[in-house]
Amino acid sequence: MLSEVSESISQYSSSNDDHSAVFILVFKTNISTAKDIKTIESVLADLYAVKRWNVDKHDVDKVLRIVANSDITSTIITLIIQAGFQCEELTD
Amino acid sequence: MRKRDIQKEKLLRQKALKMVAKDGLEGLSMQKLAKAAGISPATIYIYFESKEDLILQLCSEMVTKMSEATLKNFDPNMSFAEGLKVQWMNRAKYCLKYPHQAHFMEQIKHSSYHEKSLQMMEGTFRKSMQEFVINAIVRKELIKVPLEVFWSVAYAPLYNLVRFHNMGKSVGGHKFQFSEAIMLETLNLVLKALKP
Repeated sequence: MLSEVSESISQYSSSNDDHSAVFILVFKTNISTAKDIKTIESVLADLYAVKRWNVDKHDVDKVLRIVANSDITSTIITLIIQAGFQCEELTD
Repeated sequence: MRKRDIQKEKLLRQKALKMVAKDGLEGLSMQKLAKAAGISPATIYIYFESKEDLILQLCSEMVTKMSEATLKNFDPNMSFAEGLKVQWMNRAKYCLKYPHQAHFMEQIKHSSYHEKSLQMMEGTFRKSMQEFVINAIVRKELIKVPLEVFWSVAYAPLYNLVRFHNMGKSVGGHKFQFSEAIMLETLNLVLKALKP
């Protein structure tokens, strides 16, 4: 519980607060069914850097949102495409 | 890493609210919202985990605002006539001042989020409303009828006037504008009907 609270605080704190940096990575995908989610689950389970993730199934872009403690963008894209899905980073 | 910006979040909430009021919950997409707010879809996901998360957060904010507005200057110990008048004033003011918010909640009512929105309703609001009705029944200022009958008579007429107002016309296309006089005229009939 305690760690969850500190996570949600650090997530929104300034970038100087680097002792527990949190990255929010977002990708446009075509992950949509429950079966797809299961597949993704097994892919992401092996990544230590991933703290939390979800797929915005209700939105057209089926955005995969990952909260990670390092910038693992390229790893994610490679793994998700390998698993047979489309995956591109949504940038600013 | 990007920083959370309160102003940006506020803008997103406002735009999302407007979008839902206009195009319904189905019409809200993160991409469209990003465009309307002038930011990238990626940025939206700093603030909200998903469309569902965004809708539920908005819902929670609206429920709180609506409850606060409704309870302003209200005391469950007021006489039934006085208390109901305060309620009508508050509810009308809120709906007319914040049509998007009222519209949004109307959409929620007819969606799968309704159950969750009810759970967000604070205990104090529920308790005040219940106390008010029980007090009035005990004091013999209010007839005892099933909750649905009570609500349909006590509050629904007000919301119908607001609805006419928002449409700009009433039955048969007559031009209509909400006014305090019309509200009080309606309220008097409601009070008459609910008297034991």
